[in-house]
Amino acid sequence: MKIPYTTEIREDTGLYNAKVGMWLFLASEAMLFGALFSAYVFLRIGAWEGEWPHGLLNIPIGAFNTLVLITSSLTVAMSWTSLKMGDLQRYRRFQFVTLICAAAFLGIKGWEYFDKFSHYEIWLNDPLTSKEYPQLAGHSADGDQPVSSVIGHIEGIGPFQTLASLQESGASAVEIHPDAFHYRLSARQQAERRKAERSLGAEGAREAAEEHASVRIDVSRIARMSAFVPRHGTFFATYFTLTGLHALHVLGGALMFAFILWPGARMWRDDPERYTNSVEVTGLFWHFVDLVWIFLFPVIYLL
Amino acid sequence: MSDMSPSPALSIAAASQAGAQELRREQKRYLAVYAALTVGTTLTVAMYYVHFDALWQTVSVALVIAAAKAACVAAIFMHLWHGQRDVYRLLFFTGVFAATLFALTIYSLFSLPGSGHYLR
Repeated sequence: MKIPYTTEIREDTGLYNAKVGMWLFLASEAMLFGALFSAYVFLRIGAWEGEWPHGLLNIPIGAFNTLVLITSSLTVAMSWTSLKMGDLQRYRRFQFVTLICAAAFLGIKGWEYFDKFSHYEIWLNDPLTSKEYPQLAGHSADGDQPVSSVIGHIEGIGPFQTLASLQESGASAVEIHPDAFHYRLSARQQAERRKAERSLGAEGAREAAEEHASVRIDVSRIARMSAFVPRHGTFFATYFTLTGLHALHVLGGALMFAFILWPGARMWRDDPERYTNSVEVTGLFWHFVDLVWIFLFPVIYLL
Repeated sequence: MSDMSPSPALSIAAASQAGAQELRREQKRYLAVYAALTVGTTLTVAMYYVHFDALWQTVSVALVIAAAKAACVAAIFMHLWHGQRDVYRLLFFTGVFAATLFALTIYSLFSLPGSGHYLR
């Protein structure tokens, strides 16, 4: 069945129909992400001071992924103008780079997710003191207060473990390497600590190694244990919902570009204007996905 | 690959010389926007390490930079700069609905006990 299609620009809208359709779709997408963003704002502003986690996401990686997505937006725009100038080879080169950027973005996001799934927080029945565990001295944001939960990597266990699975395995204790820089410190506090460490030279490095020394905790002392998965808490539930939905959009856009670039390229011979239009409307979707990330990155990673 | 090359009859590059020149100018604008977005991203990360007295100041600066970057993408990459009247109308209504959504969210925070302390 042939779907009727026209490349003519309508007098009333000033656009060809596919472009109007894409803009309508993007308007609905704006409301979808708008609803999720407003839910995030509700939860973020409604959280008590000190309750919203900080420093749990990798800012340099997030910033790099932003640059990857921005680069892909550039190559999409350049590929469209190349087609408009009739240069199919140049279009192909640009779109190939776009697909590499999309794969890189998703690969990095996947790596970030896996890192989160292998990171744990352990909540304790009774707080740990620095007297009992000297390596925890200075781990809380407010000095040497006892800590009621510890964040870090646990030796010898994979991702997605819980207290129940730990008890089922018969383990009596866990060795966790607490990460001082993942301990509810804002990025500024983390940066200050790193700076202080550097200024102390070898002494600072030794202190950092001591801070990262493992802590052995009896399973009987654990009240709850969770990897950084959506059920960990409100922050990760919103983080995975927003970034997961965004990643699905990136995947969808990349698949559309790949289809147009390879099997769909036959259209270039029969109807080059329609082919160019398909790249433009898919490009509009791609730029929208980039635009969503431009807001997601500061909101989720930095605030 | 070569069989997919455009034939002169079909090529939309048959656009006038002036059209091709305009496209080259457009490409230069894309490169300028790319540079602006890169600088914006660097500023976004840098501002996080700058000390602001209140959370609302950090949020405001972050969102202003993000809005400026988004405006660049929408205006140049998405061609809104070229004046597409009906798209503006569509986006106006989208903006109104989105703003209403956010306004209701913020408003509701004040009616929850113990929340909204950042706004007070």
